[in-house]
Amino acid sequence: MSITRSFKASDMFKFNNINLDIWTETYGIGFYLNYLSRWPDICCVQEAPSGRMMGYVLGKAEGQGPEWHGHVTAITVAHEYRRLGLARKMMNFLELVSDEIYKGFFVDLYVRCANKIAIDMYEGMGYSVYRRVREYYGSLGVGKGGRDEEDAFDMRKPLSRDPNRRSIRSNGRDMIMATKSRSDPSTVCFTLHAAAMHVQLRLILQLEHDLSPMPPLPPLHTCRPPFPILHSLEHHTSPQRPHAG
Amino acid sequence: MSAAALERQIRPIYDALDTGSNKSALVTCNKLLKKYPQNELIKALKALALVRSQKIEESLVLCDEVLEAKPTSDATLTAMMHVLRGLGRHKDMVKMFEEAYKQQPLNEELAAQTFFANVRALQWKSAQLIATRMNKSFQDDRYLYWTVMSTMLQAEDHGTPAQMREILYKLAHRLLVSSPTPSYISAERFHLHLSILLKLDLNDDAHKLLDSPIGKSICATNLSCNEFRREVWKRKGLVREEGELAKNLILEKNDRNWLEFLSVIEATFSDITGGEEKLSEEALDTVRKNVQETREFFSKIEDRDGLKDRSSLLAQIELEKRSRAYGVTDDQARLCALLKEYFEKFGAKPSCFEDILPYIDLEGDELAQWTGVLDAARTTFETEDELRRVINIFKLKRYNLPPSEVTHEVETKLATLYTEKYLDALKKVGTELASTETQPADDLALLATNSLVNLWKLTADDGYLYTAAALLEYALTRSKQAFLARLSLVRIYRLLGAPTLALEHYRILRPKQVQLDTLSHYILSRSSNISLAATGDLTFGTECVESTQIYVANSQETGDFIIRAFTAEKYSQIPEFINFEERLENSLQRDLVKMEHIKMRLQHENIGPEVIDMELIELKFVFDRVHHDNRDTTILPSYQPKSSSDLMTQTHLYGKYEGPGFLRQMLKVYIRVFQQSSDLDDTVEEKLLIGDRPKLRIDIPPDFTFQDRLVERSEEDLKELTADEVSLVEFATALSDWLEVYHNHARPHPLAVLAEASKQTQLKTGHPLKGFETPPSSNGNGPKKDEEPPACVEPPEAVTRFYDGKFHIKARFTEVKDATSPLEAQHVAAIAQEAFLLFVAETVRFKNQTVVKQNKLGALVASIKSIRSNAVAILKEISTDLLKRSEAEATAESRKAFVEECSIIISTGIDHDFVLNVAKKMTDARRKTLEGFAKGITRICSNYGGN
Repeated sequence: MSITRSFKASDMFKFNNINLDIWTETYGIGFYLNYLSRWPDICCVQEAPSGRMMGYVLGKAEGQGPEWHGHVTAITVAHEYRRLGLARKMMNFLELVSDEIYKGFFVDLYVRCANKIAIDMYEGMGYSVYRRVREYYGSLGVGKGGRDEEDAFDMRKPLSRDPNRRSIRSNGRDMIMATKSRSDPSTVCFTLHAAAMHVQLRLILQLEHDLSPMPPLPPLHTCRPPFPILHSLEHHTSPQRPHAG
Repeated sequence: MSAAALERQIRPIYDALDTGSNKSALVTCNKLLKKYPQNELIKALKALALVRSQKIEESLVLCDEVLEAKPTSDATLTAMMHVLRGLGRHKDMVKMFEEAYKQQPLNEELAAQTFFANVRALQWKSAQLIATRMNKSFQDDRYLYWTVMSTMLQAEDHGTPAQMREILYKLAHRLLVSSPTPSYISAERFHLHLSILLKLDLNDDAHKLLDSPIGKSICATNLSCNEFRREVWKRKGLVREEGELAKNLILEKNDRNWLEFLSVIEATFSDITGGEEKLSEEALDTVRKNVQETREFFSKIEDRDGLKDRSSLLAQIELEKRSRAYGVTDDQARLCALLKEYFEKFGAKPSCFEDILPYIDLEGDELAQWTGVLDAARTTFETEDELRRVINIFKLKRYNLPPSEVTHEVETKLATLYTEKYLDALKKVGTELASTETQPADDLALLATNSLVNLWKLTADDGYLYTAAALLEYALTRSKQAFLARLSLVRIYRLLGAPTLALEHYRILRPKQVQLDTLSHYILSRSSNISLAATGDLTFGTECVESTQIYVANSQETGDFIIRAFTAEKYSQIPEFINFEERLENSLQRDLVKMEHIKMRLQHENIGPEVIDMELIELKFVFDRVHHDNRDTTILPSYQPKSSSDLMTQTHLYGKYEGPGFLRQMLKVYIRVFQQSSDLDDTVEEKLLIGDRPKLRIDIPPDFTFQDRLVERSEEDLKELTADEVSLVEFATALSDWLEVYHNHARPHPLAVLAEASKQTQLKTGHPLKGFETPPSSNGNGPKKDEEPPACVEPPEAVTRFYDGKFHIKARFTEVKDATSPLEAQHVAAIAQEAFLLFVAETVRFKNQTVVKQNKLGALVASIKSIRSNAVAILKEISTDLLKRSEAEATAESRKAFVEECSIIISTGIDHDFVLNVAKKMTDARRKTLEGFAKGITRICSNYGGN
C-alpha cells in the first residue's frame, strides 16, 4: 500500500530515511528545485499511509528530433520498503508520462555494466542495451568487475511513438562510446540507487549553461539576508579569536 | 575606444569575480576607472568586488552613486543586483529595476526583471501590477497568468487580512476567465485555474472542467491535477462515483495506488457517512451489502495479484476496520483472520510490521487470538526470508506487550533473546553481502537497543546504555551502512556523556545540504552544554557554523528557482517553492543552533562589545520569526511497546526536547542582557544597519512593546527547560531587573556612539559613516547628562543566592556530582558557567573605571565584585570536583565495571575484548569531556575572575 503522488519541494525535509542510504546522493537544493521547476510532472513519490516517504523518482525529457526521450535521473527506495515492487511502479509512471505527455520516442537510463541484477530487472521491464559508455563510473575506481565496474550501459525502452523500435538496437552491447570529458563544467556526475535490487547506477546530467548566469556564490558571511551589517563594525565577522588571557 | 575594446577590458573583471579573486578585480576596476571615471558598469563591478571583500563602507558609496544615476543597461543592473543582494538591500533592488523600467517601458526584458525583483522580495502586490502592465504592453497570455499567480500569492501572504483574501481570489478568477485561451492548453495553467476555483468553493465549475474529455485526459497523467480532482469529487459528495472510477482503474489499468483503494472503501460506506445520528436498518443493510461486494472485489484482485502486490489484502483489513467502526461487520473473527493471512503471506517483507501496525491495537480475546498466531509462528530461521519473518514477529509481539510485562525481568529476557537471535542471524544470513550493504539482521540489534533503553528507563542504570552502545558498535562493524544503528548510537553516546564519540558517528553519516537542517539536532541539540569551547576546542562551534550553510544556500538559490518556475510557467511549483524557502529561512533548528553557537562564543571569546553588539542585532532579527520545525524525529523507528514512550522521546538529552518555547525563553534572556550591555540603542542601530529589516508581525498588538515582550514570562515555554535552566532564567531575569537603571544611566548618548563609529570608519576606510554628520559642537561624549545617577540598591536575593543559596547551584551540584552518570553534574556545571558568563556580559560596562566614576557607581561595583568573587569561588570548586571525577572515569576499574555491566551481550557471544575496547573508548571520551569542561571553567574564572 503506497500512495503515488507528485514530488514536492518540501519532501526534501522528509527524505532522510531514503537518502541516508549509501547509494542515494543528497544534492544541493538547486538540484531538486531545478527538476521541479522544469519537469514537475515526471517526478513522483511513493508514500506510506503514515506519511513516511518510501521512494521517489526524478526524471526529465530531453534530446533533439528522434532522440527526444524521457530520462530516469534518480530512482530510489528506502531500505524498509524494498522488495515491494515500488521501483517498477515508479518506472511505469515515468514511462507513462514520457509517452503521453512528452511524446518521447523512448525512455533511457544508465546502469553499471557489472550490475547484472539491475540489468536483468530492466530487461524484464522491456529495456535493452543501446550502447556501452566507457569509463562512465571512473571516479569510483575499478573494482572487482574490472571494466564492467567502470563502464555503463545506456539502456532504452521504445515508447508508442516509436512503433518500429528504431530507438533501440540488438547489438547495443557492442556499440562503445567514450564518456564526455569530465572537466566539462556543464556535466554533473552523480551516483544513484535503483531500489529493489540494490542497483547502482551512475548518470550524467546535463545542466544547461543558461541556467546559471550568475557568478559563483559569495562567501558565507557576506550575504545572509536579512543580514545585519554594521557600518563600522566589520571586525565582527572576522573569525573567532582565542581568549586574550 | 570602441565598445568592443571596452568590453574586452572589462572581461577580466568578470573572470576575477567568478573565480573569487576580488583583489585582482578591484585592481582592474581601479585601473579602468581612471580611464572611464563615469562608467557605471565598472563602478558597479567595483562595488561588487568591494562587497565581496567585506569592504562594506566603500561599496556603499559606489553603490549609491550608481543607483543615483538610474542605470538601465542590462550588465550594470545585473551587477548591481548582486551588490544589493550582498548588502541585503532587496527593496532597493526592486526600486532600481522599477526606475529602469520606468525609463524604458517598452523593454520587455527589463519589465520581466522588475517583475522578478518583486518576486524575489516576495512583494506580490507590486509584482501583480507589473505583470498586468506587461500583459497590456506585450500581449502575451503568460503575463496574464503571472498576474493571476501574483494575485493568488498576495492573497496567501501572511500579512493579508481575511476579507481581502476573498477579494483577491475573486480578482484572480476574473482575470483568468478573461484569458483569450482556455487554461487547459497546459496542465500547469489548468492546475492554477483549479486552485482558484477550489479557494472560491466554485466546485461545480471545477467539476465541469475536470469532467470534460480534456480535463479527464490531464488528470490521467498529471498527479497534481488529479489531487485536485479527488478533492472536488469529495466536496461534491461524488464518493460513489469516485469509488467506481477507482474500481475501474484498479481492475482495468492495474493501478495500485493506495488512494484508489481508499476511494473504493469510502464509496462502500457512502450511505452512512453523512453524520446521521440514528441509521435506519435499511441504510445499514445497504452498507452491509456494499461491504460484501467490496470485499469480493478486493478478494478478486487479491487472487489476481498473489504475492506481487499487497494492496488488496490490506484494503480488506482496512475495510474490516471501518466496518467495525460503523457496526456493520458480520464476523468478529474476520479481522484477526485477515491479519493472520497478511502475516502469513507478507510476513517476510521488511514493511510488514509497519503495514499492519494501525490494525493491531487489539484487546481481550482478540488480542489473545492474535498473540496466539504470533506465538505459533516459528522463530527459527535459515534463510533471509525466514529471518525477516522472525523480526516481524518480534516487533509485532513487542508492540502489544502489556504494561504489566514491561518489567525488568521481562525486558532482560527479551534483550537477551534479541541479541542471541541477532548473533545467530549474522552467522546464517547475509554472510556473502558486500560491505556496502546492510545486514538483514540489523533490526534485531535495534530491537535489543529498544529493550535496553527501556531497561535503562525502568532502572536508571547506565549499565544498560553501556550494553546498548557496545551492541550497536558491534552491529556497525558487521553492517557499516546501518544508519539507523548509527543514529541510535549517536543518541546513546550523548546520554552517556561522550559527545565526541556521538559526533564521530554522526559525521560518518555525512549529512549535508538540507539534511543539515533536518538532522543536525541529533548532535547540536543543547551542544553548548557539552562543548569545550572555553578551552579553545571549537569542534562543536565549527559544526554549528557548518550546519548554517544550508540557510545561505536557501537564501541565494531558492528565490532563483521561484523565478524559473515563473519563466517555465510551472505554477503548481511556485507556492511549494515559496513554502520551502520560508520553512528553511525560518527554521527552528537554525535559530536553536544560533543560540547554542552564541553560548559557545561567550565561552570562547573575550566578552566585550564586539561579540555583544553583533549578536544582539542578530538575535533581535530572530526574535520575531515564526518558526517552522523541520527536525526529522521520525527517522528513528521505535519498536517500543505501545504503553512506553517511543525511543526518540526516551533518549532526549536531560529528558527534555527543546522547541520554540525553549528558544523564545533563551532569546529573551540573551537579548535583554546584551541590550543592557550594549551601547547600541534603537536609534544608533537604525543608523548603523544596512539592508532590509524583517517584516513586522501583524499578529502582535502594536501596544505590546518589544521590551514588554522580553520580560513576559510564559510558564508554557518554561516547560521545555530543565529545572536548572529555569533557575538560570530566574537568575538572569533578576540580574537584568537589578542593573537596568544603571545601564540606562551610564550608557553614552547615541550621538556620541555614532560619532565614535564614524571616527572609526573614517580611520579604517577613509570614508566617514554614511548618512551621519558629526555634530560640530560634539566633545565626543554627546550631550551632557543632567540627571543624578540612580541610587545604588542591594542586589536581589535571586542574584546573590544563586551560587550558594540553599537550593541553588552549589547545592544542586553537590547533589548530583557523585551520581553514576556524570551527565547531570556536567549540566549543572554548564548552567553555573552560563550564568557566570551572562553575569560577565551584563557587567562589562562597570569594569570601566571612568564610567564608574562619572556615574558615581562605586557602591554598585562593590556589590558586583562580591557577587563575582563568590561565583568564581564556587565555579572553582565545581571545576575541581569535575576534574577529580574525570580522573576516576577512565581507569582499569571503570572499564572493568563497564564490561561487567554488559553481561547480557557478552554471555550471548559478543567478544569480551571487543566490549573492553568500547569501554575504553567510551570512558576515555567521557574523561576528556569532563576534564576539558573543568579546565574550561578554570580558564573562564581566571579570565574574568580578577576584580
